[in-house]
Amino acid sequence: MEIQISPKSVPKSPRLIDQQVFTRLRTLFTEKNWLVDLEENFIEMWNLCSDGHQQDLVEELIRRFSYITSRDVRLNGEMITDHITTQWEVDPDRALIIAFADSDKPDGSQALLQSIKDKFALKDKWSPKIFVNKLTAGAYKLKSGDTAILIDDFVGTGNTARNRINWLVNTLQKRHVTEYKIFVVALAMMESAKTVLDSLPIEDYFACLWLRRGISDEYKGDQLSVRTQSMIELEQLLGVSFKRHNLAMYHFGFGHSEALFSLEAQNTPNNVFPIFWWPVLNSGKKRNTMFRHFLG
Amino acid sequence: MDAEKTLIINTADRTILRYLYRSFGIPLSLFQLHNDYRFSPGQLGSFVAKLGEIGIIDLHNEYISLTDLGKKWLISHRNKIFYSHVQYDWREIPKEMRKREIDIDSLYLPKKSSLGKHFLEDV
Repeated sequence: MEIQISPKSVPKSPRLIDQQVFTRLRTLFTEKNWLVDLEENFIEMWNLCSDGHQQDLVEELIRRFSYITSRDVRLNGEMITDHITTQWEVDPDRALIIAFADSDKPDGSQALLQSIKDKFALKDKWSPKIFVNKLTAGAYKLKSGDTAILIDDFVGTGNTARNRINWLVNTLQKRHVTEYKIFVVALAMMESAKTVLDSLPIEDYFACLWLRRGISDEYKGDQLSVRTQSMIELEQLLGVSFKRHNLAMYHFGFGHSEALFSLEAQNTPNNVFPIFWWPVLNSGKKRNTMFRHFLG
Repeated sequence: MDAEKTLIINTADRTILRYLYRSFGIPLSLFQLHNDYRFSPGQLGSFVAKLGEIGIIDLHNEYISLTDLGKKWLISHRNKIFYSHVQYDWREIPKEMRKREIDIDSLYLPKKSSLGKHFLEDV
């Protein structure tokens, strides 16, 4: 094993921590190694907790959090590529892999598309021409008999997917493209989006990760009420608005998704609980959040 | 140990390894390390994860100790771990703040104006 000496280290503790809390946090950092680089941000969130229930909730959410590192993206990219080429048995000459992005703004779907491109280099018969970085462009490239594989990094409520697929179907209809197949693939999808996806005119969908709602799908009875109440109390500590956005829109994550998902070094979906990314406190003070979602 | 993996040892890890070597045979309390040296839960958590995984240290009831394998490993890699020159960013003097170096064996002539009035009296 090669040893590399790094001059960088996580900063030391600015203050002493109570032994019980220290042991709890130390164990969490050992189990969730990705958390180490976000230690200061995590501690700031931990310090917002005013009682044991809130601390329990934060700890449990972190344990269930899916944090996808760049290494995971590579491994999942291989899984996606295998699924497209072997499970769906798509004809390489009649397929387009299209990012879900529908505007000229940079998007997570385009980043994922770019990351899987090289995986197809090893597959015979697949050409680089099949990759399209925008749905609005892909809709005009598809011809009768083609297969559209729509790709996204994350599917939360499924509503965005529904709107875009409906738009695609309408556009193809207007262009008199009648015979086509649509598949949807994502790095992660919320289980709650299945109902929406099942109602769409698509052949099949696939996700490397299926995510459950962080609170509603994990607790029952009294525990559910206690954890829900704790999250409401934590959200009350956040600023009610930021720029032109109201926190109420993102209560328990956009569309009440309760997502626990983030991709390393990328824009975190707004479906994630705002306690992880909402940038201001109700005092107006800026937060050093664990993740970032860019609110325009 | 996985030969293909790279083990990244940071400055905090180095210090903790030194303490463990000095107290070989006597387990150290993780909380005590936090209490005495302000190592954070993240520093200690990451240390336990990466060195515990490859059998260098043992964790038992919040106490860590160097294993026999760990002691041998530490001795055989001591030069790399303890004597490697670490290039700290903050130690680097920016180029624009450096002055021209004087040549070796050349005489140093200080600027008179920058000397104090009583310089020669104090010599």
